[in-house]
Amino acid sequence: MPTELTALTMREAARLVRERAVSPVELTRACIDRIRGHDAELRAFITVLEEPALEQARRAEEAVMRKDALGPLHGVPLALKDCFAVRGVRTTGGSRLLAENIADRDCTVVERLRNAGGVFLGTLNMHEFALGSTTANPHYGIARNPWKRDRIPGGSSGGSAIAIAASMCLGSMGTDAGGSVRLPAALCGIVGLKPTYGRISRHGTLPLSLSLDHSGPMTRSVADAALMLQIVAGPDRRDATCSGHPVSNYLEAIEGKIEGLKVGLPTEYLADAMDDEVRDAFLKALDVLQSLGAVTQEVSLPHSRLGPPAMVAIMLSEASALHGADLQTRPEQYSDGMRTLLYAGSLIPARRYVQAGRARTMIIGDQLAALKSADVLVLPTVAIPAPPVGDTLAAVGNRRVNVDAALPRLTLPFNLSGLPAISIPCGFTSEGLPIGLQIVGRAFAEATVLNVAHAYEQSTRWHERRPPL
Amino acid sequence: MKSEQQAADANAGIVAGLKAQGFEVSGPELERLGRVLSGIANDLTKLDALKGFECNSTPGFRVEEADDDAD
Repeated sequence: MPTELTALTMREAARLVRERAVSPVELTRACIDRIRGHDAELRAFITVLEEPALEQARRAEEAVMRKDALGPLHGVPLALKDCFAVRGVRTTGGSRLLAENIADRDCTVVERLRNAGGVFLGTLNMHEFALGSTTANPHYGIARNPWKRDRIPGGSSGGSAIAIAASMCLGSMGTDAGGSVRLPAALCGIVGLKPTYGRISRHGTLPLSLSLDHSGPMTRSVADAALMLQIVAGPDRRDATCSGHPVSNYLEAIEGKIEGLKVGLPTEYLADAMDDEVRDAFLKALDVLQSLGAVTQEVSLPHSRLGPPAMVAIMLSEASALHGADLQTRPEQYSDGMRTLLYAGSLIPARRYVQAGRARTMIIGDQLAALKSADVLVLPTVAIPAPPVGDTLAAVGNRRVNVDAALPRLTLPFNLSGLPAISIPCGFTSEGLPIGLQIVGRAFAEATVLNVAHAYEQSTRWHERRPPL
Repeated sequence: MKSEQQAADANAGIVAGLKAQGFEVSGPELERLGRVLSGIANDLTKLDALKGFECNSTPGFRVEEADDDAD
């Protein structure tokens, strides 16, 4: 067990609280000290709820002393991306437009985490309205990667990834329309799970793109992601897109045995531009999976090149539709970059949106066909390590690639399909930057995805590394 | 390279398209938007690879129906 309280996993912390070995107040204070020590530089938080969190922790401690029934996250300090409504707290979406938007009720995710005993430390920085991958937020600060401060943390849930990597909280939730949970998780060396579309209610969560938006856990271990999913997953009559599919027992499922598992390697994605160190780490990760008894096979996703344009057409059209009224009346409240993208989205022809829907259907068909012969697909989460803050181009071998296009290239296909995908740490570059491994499963097969991720994690030590703060 | 006249025509089209939706853009913002739109339009031409009636299923998103092998 780590000696630092803030380096505990959620499961370890919850157990220690239950056993009265650690006080929720002590845990919460330790996290607040980390925030005070590092947030001015890293810019992970938008709102810190210091006194309310301590008050919640004191009540949690009293419940422990009274021997009340305790939830699975009792007394565990959490912080969520600033797009989940928390009663009485502003939910900004990383925007100036919603800077004074005080939520009058909890969103479903917060309601369930609160019922499980979680303590809320505050809300976390994000790319403005989640439309971007850098978390260079012009209103709440340019977020920085704790592994190397001149690098981006990824986004849009960049604050969540920083807060966990830098031990400012023990668990978080992000949202993911094109990779926004998995991508920052990969670049900051933590675990990020995007479950199946509809697995987690989006009631009370600020949207970006209604057919692409997912919410998901961001944690320090795969078991923590399983625990958090267990708590927040399941039907919600307040969200019409939330599925009634039965919720598996994810913690029971992660027994770590993958003997005979069929692992599909999507050839089109792996043949594309990729950083050499990312490719090496990925190939070594395959060796680990094979050593655990998994059998690898190549699979083809022939319409993969249609993914990025389909994503652009769908995401920008849906986002501009959501923001149309505010864009008419309060355009100055958006950053220049955000406003330009929303205007651009409003000018995408309807025929392109329809074409994108057709492409999406074919991309889904490819993935489902591949998952008939394979149990999971694996590929790197991001093809490049975290680029420097402000860079628009990144070097991949002797090529220069556009950063905004390169970052979500391997994550966005699974937003188009809605299939579950997780990112887990699988190595570091020679500069000390984290690399992520992505594991994708069949619809609602989060239990399988988590089990494979857990088996890999328990066979390696990458998840134990901490950034040099 | 676009001629000045082509660029002016393109910008006029953008302004008209936005005005019809209640948005007003001019100056440097219009130039920036023009560049962004040009990149997006170029990217979206890849969708023309979908010919005629090649797609046999209804466009859309129905992951629940793909759930025959879920755990």
